[in-house]
Amino acid sequence: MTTPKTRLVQVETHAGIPIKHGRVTITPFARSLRIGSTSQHGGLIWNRPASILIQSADGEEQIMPIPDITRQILWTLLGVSVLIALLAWIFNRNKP
Amino acid sequence: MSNELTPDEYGQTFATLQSTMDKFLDAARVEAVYGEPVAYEDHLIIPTAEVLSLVGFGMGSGSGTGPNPENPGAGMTGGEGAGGGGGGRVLSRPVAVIIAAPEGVRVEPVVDVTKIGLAALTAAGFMFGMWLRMMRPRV
Repeated sequence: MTTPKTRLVQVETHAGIPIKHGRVTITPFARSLRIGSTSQHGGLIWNRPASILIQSADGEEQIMPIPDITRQILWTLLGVSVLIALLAWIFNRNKP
Repeated sequence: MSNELTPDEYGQTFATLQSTMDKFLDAARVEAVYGEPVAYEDHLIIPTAEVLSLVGFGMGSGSGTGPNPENPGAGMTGGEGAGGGGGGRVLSRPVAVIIAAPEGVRVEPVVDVTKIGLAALTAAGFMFGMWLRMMRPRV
């Protein structure tokens, strides 16, 4: 059994099977981050929806991103916490 | 009794390993992120989720020789063995729902209030702890 040699970190965007509904065709896209591989005795795959391509019957195309509101709020929360902690530390440092 | 694995046993071990790795690699497929479309009246609903898959495994084998404890005069005896183990976890969280309606296609985000609430409480606890530490008089 041989394992193909792959890079340690891989970021890929994959297109899914187009879904037809009425006059529109929706093509989903997913972005995956892959760390490690079978040759490295394991790894991690983080796969998330990226966007959808909407094609109408008249040929019009539109790309609609898929926002991850939960992740955005969590990152904002983390940023605000770190900023407040940093500012508090800076102001407190000069206190007698 | 020999500890040596037969070619069949090796084959089974590798087959199990390969099957586990295939399941792990399945997490990278687009189908893992986009759920099966659900038709409701003239609407089509496609659920989406992020998938985090972690896996790790290890294998080892060894052999050795030594004096036979049952019959010390009989010279050296040997043995060998092999083993392996692994583990993994798949985490999934809904991200959004795609709704295809006659009036158009829209994306409705899914907000995980529990996760945000827990993170907010953790952040508040961290800041409160830091504030208490700063309020403490210096010696």
